[in-house]
Order: sequence, then C-alpha cells, then structure tokens
Amino acid sequence: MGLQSNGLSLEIVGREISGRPVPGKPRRPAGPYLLGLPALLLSCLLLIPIGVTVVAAFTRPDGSFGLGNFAVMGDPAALRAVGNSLAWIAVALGLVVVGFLLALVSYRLPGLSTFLQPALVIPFAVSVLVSGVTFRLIFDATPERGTVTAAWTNLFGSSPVWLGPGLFWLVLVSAFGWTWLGYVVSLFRAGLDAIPDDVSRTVAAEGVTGWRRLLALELPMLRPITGVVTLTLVIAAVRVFDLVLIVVPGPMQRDADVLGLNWWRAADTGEPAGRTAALGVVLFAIVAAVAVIGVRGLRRRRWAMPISVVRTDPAPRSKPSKRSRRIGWTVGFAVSLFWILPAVVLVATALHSPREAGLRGWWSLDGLGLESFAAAANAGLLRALLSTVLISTVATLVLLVIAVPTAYLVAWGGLPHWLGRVVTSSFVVLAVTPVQMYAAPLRDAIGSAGLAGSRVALALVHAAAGLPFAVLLLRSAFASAPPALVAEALQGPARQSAVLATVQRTYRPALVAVAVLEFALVWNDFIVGFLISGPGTTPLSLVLWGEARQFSSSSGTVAAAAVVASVVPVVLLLSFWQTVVRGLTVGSKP
Amino acid sequence: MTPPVEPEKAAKQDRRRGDFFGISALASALLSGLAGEKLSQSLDSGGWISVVGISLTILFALIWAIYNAPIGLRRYRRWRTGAPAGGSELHTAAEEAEQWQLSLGSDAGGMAAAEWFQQREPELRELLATEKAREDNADDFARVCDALETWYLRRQDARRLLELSELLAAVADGCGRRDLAELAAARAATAYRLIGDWEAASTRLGVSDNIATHGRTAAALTTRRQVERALLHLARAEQSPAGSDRDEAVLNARDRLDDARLNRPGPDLAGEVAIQINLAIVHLYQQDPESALDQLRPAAARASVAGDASALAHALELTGVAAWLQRSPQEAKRWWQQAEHLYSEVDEPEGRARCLQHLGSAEVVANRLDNARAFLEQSADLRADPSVHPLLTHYLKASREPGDSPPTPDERPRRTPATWLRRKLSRWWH
Repeated sequence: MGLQSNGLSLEIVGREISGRPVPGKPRRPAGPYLLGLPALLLSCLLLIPIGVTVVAAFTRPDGSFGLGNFAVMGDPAALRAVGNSLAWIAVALGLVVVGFLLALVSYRLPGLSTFLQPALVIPFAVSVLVSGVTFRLIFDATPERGTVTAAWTNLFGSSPVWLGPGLFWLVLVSAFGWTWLGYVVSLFRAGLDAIPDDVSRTVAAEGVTGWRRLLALELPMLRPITGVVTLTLVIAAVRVFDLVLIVVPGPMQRDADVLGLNWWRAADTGEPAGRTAALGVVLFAIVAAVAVIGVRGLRRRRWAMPISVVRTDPAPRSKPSKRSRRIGWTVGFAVSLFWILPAVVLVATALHSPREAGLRGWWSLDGLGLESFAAAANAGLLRALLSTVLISTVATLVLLVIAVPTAYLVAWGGLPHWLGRVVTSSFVVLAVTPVQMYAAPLRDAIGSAGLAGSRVALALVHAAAGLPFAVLLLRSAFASAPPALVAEALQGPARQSAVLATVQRTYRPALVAVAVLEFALVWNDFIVGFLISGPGTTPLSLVLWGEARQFSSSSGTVAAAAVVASVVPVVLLLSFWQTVVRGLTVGSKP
Repeated sequence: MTPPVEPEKAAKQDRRRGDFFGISALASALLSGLAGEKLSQSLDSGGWISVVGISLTILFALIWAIYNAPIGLRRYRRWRTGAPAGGSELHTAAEEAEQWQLSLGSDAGGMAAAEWFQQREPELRELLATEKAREDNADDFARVCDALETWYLRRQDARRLLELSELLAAVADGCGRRDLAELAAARAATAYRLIGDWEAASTRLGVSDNIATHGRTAAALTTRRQVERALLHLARAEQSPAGSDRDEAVLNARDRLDDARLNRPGPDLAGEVAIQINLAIVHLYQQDPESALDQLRPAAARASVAGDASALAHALELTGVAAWLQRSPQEAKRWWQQAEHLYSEVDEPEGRARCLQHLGSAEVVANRLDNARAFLEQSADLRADPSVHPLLTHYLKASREPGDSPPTPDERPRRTPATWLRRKLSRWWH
C-alpha cells in the first residue's frame, strides 16, 4: 500500500544493518560527568568531616584502632538517650497514622480543607524553636500566664505542672505534632487526590466499602507517598534537638535527653573526642538504617505515582451535596481555629509589653503595645534578620546552581546503571546524616581557616547539607518527564521549544519546591548555626535562643522575636504550598 | 575430533615446550651472570659458576632453536614465495569476499564489486556448501556469509538469504559458536521479513535474543535486532490502512530505533546511518517531513563522508519523498533523479527501480503519461518480478490507459491525510 501523500502512493523501503557485526561498546560521552563535579566538591564539605568523625570514633585515646570508644553506650545516660530517641521514632509513626486518617477525613468531607489547609501549613513554616517557645507559653505552670493551666484550673480547680517530670513529654509531642501534621496531611491528601477516578469508581462498583476499601484501594495506591512521609518524619524525630533544648526546663533535661543532645553535652563538657564521635556514629547508624530500610521498601514497588499528580485542573469529583459541604466548612473552621491557636497565642503575647507578658496571659487586655518588638530590636534582632536573609539567599542560590546539573546528570546523563544506583544511594544516606556527624571537625576546620563567623561559610555548609535532598527531588522530577521527549532531546535534532515547554511544565514545581523548602529550612535552622557557626554570624534562631534562656522574664521579647522570625517563611510557604506539594509528589521519590 | 586437528595440536604443544626451554635459557643466563658477579666480588672465585651458567644457557638456547627451527623455516619459505598465511581455499575466498564487500555500494569501486559478486556468487555458494565446517575455519565461513548477506540484501534475494542463514546456523551448531548462531537467527529474521512471513521473523528475533552472548559484538547484534524489529513494525505499518493500527506500528518502530541508537557500538557508522534513515521513514509515516529531513541531512552527510554511495542514494531518495510531502514536486523529482543516478553508479537495480517508479508515478499524477510510461517501463525492466510490486503495476496500468482519469494531486492547502486516504481508498476498491 505504501505511503500515500499528495495524490501519490510511494514505495518506501527501510535500511537493514548488514555484514559483519562491528565489535565495540555503546559510546557514552564523558562530558556529562563534569556536571557532577561541583556537587562532588560541595559534598566534600560534609564527606571529609564525616570521614574524620568515623575515624575518630574508632581511634582509642592511645591512638590504636578498636571499638573501645563504643563503651560509651554502656553509660546509663547514653542508654536513656537511645531509648528516648526510639520513643521519638514511635511518635513519628503515630503521627503518620493520625495524619493519614485526617487526610482521609478531609478527602471524604470536601470543604473541610478550605480553612484547614492554611491552618496546617503555618506550623510547618514556623521553626521548631518558635513552636517550642509557643508551646512553652501555652503550657506555662502559672494559671495567670499558661493557657492550658488556666483552663484546667477553671475546670477542675487545680492543674498539674505541665512542664514537670513526665508531663513535659506531652508538651514535646504536641509541639512536634503541631509542626509536622500539616506536612503529613498535605502529602497524603495530594496522593488521595491523584487516585484515578475510574479506579475508585470501579472499586465502588464492586461494592467494596469501609475498611476493605481502605485496604484494597487507598493504602496500596498511597504506598509510595507513605514511604516518603514516613522517611521524612522518622528522620525528623531522630534529629530532635532544639525542641527539647527550648521546651524542657533545665533540671529535667537529663530525663528528656535524646542522642543528639547527649552528644552535644558530651562535646560541650570536653569529653574525649573519640567518645563523642562514637555517639555521633551510633546516631548516624540508627538514621541510616531507617533510611535504607525505607528506601529499599519503597524500591520494591516503583516509586512512581499515577502521573495525574501533575494535573493542572483539579477536576471536581462528584459534586458534594450542599449539606455535606456546609458541615465540612463548619468542622474545618472549628478545627483550624483550634489548630491556629498556638500562633494566636504567640502573636498576642508579642503584642504585650515585656513586663505584662511576664505577668499575665495573652488574653489580658493590659499593656498592649509594640514595646516587646522594640525590646527585641534592641537585642540585635534587625542585624540577625539581615544576617539570616543573606545566609538563606546565598544557600538557596548555591544549592540551585549546583543541584540542577547534578540532578540532570543522575536522571538523564547516561550514567551506567550501577553508578546511578550508587550515586542515588549515597545521596539518600547523606540526606539523612545528622549534623553531629560533621559538626565538630567542620567547626574546627572553619576556625583554623580563619573563617569563623563568616556568613558565606555558613551558607555553604547549609547548601551542602541541603544538596542531597534537592538532588533526589529534582532527579525524580527530571526522570518523570515523558521518555519519548527525553529521547528526542538527547538523541537528535528535535524541536527544542516543544521539548522545553513540556519539560518545564513537568519540573517547574520541583524547582520551586526545592528553592522554597531550602530557603525556609535555612531560615528556620538552629542546629547547624548553633553547632558550627562562630559568634559573628548571629542568625535569627541564635538570637531567639539567647533571649529564651531567661524565659520567664523575657517571654514578650522572645514572642516578638519569634513572630518576626516566622513572618517570612510563613508567607513564603503559604503562597507556594500548592506548588511545593506538587513538586514533592512528582515521581514521588524523596 | 577430526583427524587433521591432531597434528596441529601436537605442533602447538611442541612449540610451547620449546618456549619453556627458551625461557630457561634466559633465566639461567641472568642467574649465572648475577651469581657469578656476586661470588667474584666476595670470594674472588666465581669463574666456574659462570662457565656452568654459560654452558647451561647455550644448551637451553640450542634446544629452543631446534624446537622452533621448523616453524621459522616454514615462515621463511612462505615469505620467500609470498603466499598469504592460512592458504586454504575458504580462507582465500573469505579474504577476497571481505575486500569486495567493503567496496560494495561505495563510490570507490562499487560497480566493480557488484560485478565481482555477480560472477563469483555461485562459486562462493558452492564453496560454502562443499567445505566442511571446523572450529578453525568457522570464522572464514562467517566472513563469506557476511559478504554474501550484503550482496543478497542489495538484490533483495530473500530465498538465498534464508539458505545462507540456515547454513551459518548449521556451522554455528557444529562448532558450538553461540555468537554465530545469534547472528544467523537475526539474519533469518531479515530473510523471513523480506519473504513476508512476519511471524517467523519475530520468532527468529526471539531466538536470537535468547542465545545472546556478552562478547565484543553483543552491542552490534542488539542494535541489529532492534533495527530488524523496527523494520518489521514499519512493514506492518505499510500494509495497514492509515489509522490507529498504522500509528501504533510506527510508534513501536520508533521506540525500537531509539533503543537501537542507544545501544549502537561506537564505531558503527553504517549502523548509525541505517538507524537515521529508518527514523526518517518513521517521520514520513507520521506525515512530518521536517523531522524526517532533520534525520536525513546528517545521514546523507555521514554517508557521503564515509563514501557509502548506496546509503547516500537511499537518503536522497527519502529526501525526495519528504519534498513531495512538502508539496514541492519539482524538487522531489530532482532528488529522485540524483538518487537514481547514484544507485546506477553502484549498480543497485532495486533502488534504481524504486526511484524510477517514484518519477513515473509523479508523472502519472501530473498527467504526462508518455514520460510516465517510459519511467515505469524502465523500472519494470529492472525489477526481477514486476508483478509482486502492486504500486508499479497500478501506475503502469494508469499510464497506459489515458481514458481512465489518473489521480490528480490534492490541491487543498492543509494536509488532511485521513480524509484524503478515505477518498483514495474508496476510489480503489470500487
């Protein structure tokens, strides 16, 4: 029949490859490997100190190699710290379950998320330090100031000391949950929304409902996202550090000790370097084990979500009835009010003068004014603000400039299969490496290089710490571009504009997600600045921390500083949240 | 084992033993020299050691020389007479065929190569049929087969190609050469596709996949199978009416070609040109002449750099088709004329016939029936069996029957292949 065109049928014959087979291997250009060079150099900022720490952990005080330093784990304080860290992992898992159920409810009750979504995002945007400050304000022991204590006293006559022994766990867990629940719910909700309509309709037509529907449809479909969420939360739980430091009053901190904190105390009190290094290695081993198990479990099924996560128009499912929508709104509004309460407490406290804030609760109408903000400004807030803006911007820019080519290399650079897997796995391990693994050697190195207190050095460390996560996220976004397009772009002369348009549509959310998350993370960071930077850099969180030491007398100032510190990340995340969630779920690889 | 192998093995063993003595000679020379010097330094009396050492060295060297003398003599004699190494008839034929195969289709001696193959092909076939395959001449067998394959493909002689592949499969089987079996299966797939038995072709490709080796030619064979699969899909596309079936087949072909391109061994220029030409055909089926030209231009450039006139002609022929798709019939005719000329220079009657057919059918469409008839009859003369080419017969008929209004070019400005095709089809069948 041939090829018909313009009134003609043409006979077309293809061309075979004939003759003797040519010996040789497929040619792989070496040029793309150069794209990974900046990432390698930046990662050395972490890799070399990690190596130093590992070597130190296995070096006995007399200079010989051995496991002697790990005897530190027999120390009852260290044992308690390990136990507490494991307890935090359990908390994280519980939070995942709660978040999943909440997402399910909000999925079934449309209208709920109208108010709930922003209410859930705000805590995620706020730094752990700020959330700790807020919960300390809410659970204050005196009925004149502490919201919960006051309510409890009014209801039952007397109130337990919430920040006392045993009960401070409640405060810690609620602060942790308040911070992370929004993230969990949002990601699960995106996953639920991405379940194709025909699948859920088929399941409904089969008459599968309730628990069986959950088991048959939603849990399996959400497995990739569950993996991502669990991984993030478990790592966050193992890394808990600043929360305990700021929430738990000094005398009880020994009980609340976690591994990271134990390490810091040991390093601070001048214990031999080998013992602290051994503690760091143990912490690292726990986190790495969790990560590797999580990643392996994920890999068994491919990490791909239904492609419709990327869909641009959220086509309404069957339009819900007016009644259910109204119920959804009401419930959503009430829940969001409750959820936003800590933020309200914080802002209201900040609006009182420092003296009044120290004496009365946020609901009192005496002493309203901006004096707390003035006090915070006197404490060096403005300088810290500028410093933080500089550090966050530099870190984000450096990260983007380095992570994009690296992710391109890993996704499309034609790396041999095994090398791609090795690179990905090492990035997963690096992404979960606790700061304690590289803090001490890095601080010494920066100090001896005369860069102590340099903001650019701190920004570079931040960029290096954020690099693995960014590369993994961007890689999955790049890899999820339609293969035919990629093949066209890579292999030959194709219409570049068409390729670019599609590629841009596919991975812009991921780029935005990386930039926004990195900026917010660096802005909110406490631990890197605390452990590594010298006295000159003064990022916001360190100022906050310095003020919070005399908590009862300076709560107004602390609240004001916390409010100022939170405005930028909250605005940023609220305005980009949809894109960030889409970027996080493209390809669904962490 | 066949008897002739025995002496060969024995000779090899002899040589190895001889080499052992040679190494011993070297070692004893070095050792005795070293030891003698040390002793003379410390004791002033190392003379007898060097005497023993030198005599041992001479002895070993003598033995080594005796072992190696016959080989050296043989080499020397061969060098004097100037005869090539190997010497068997098959080996000579393989060397010669390989040389001519290289120039087949090239602008340097393409015509002469075609003539050579024309004359020697029966002889070579005879030789392959009579010669007994052994482990040591399997490679020569394969080389002759490679050369003949290229020739048969040029002539589109599917039957002979099939026989050839079966022969090679038998050789591979007899000598336990998996790589040759793999190649033979892929070759059989090509033959079956040309015959029109697509089922058998894909079965053979599967067989070839299953015995794939990891040798030095693994990448080349993978590429070859993928290209063959793509050609199968293209053949299906050609036979199916425009619609989803055809689109799917074309897309499948494209996937296979993309794979082939990624797996192609670095130095395989001819393979790369073939892949690009096939990709261009995919674009032509997709009614996308611009993309086809994007492939054809580099393909033509590569082919002309490599001096591969046949591939260049193929690329030019398809460039003409793309020009026709772009509604520039004059340009299309110029390309086809050029391609026809190139094909005739390397004596490829199939390609010439195709180009003449394009030219003739274009004349039919332009209603210049005399010209058309001349072209089409020339094309029919070049075809071995014109009746198996339905398009040729169709246009020949149209050129001979002026009363029957020939199909006219579609003047509508935008391409609407589907509607056009429907009209065309209804005109054909009713």
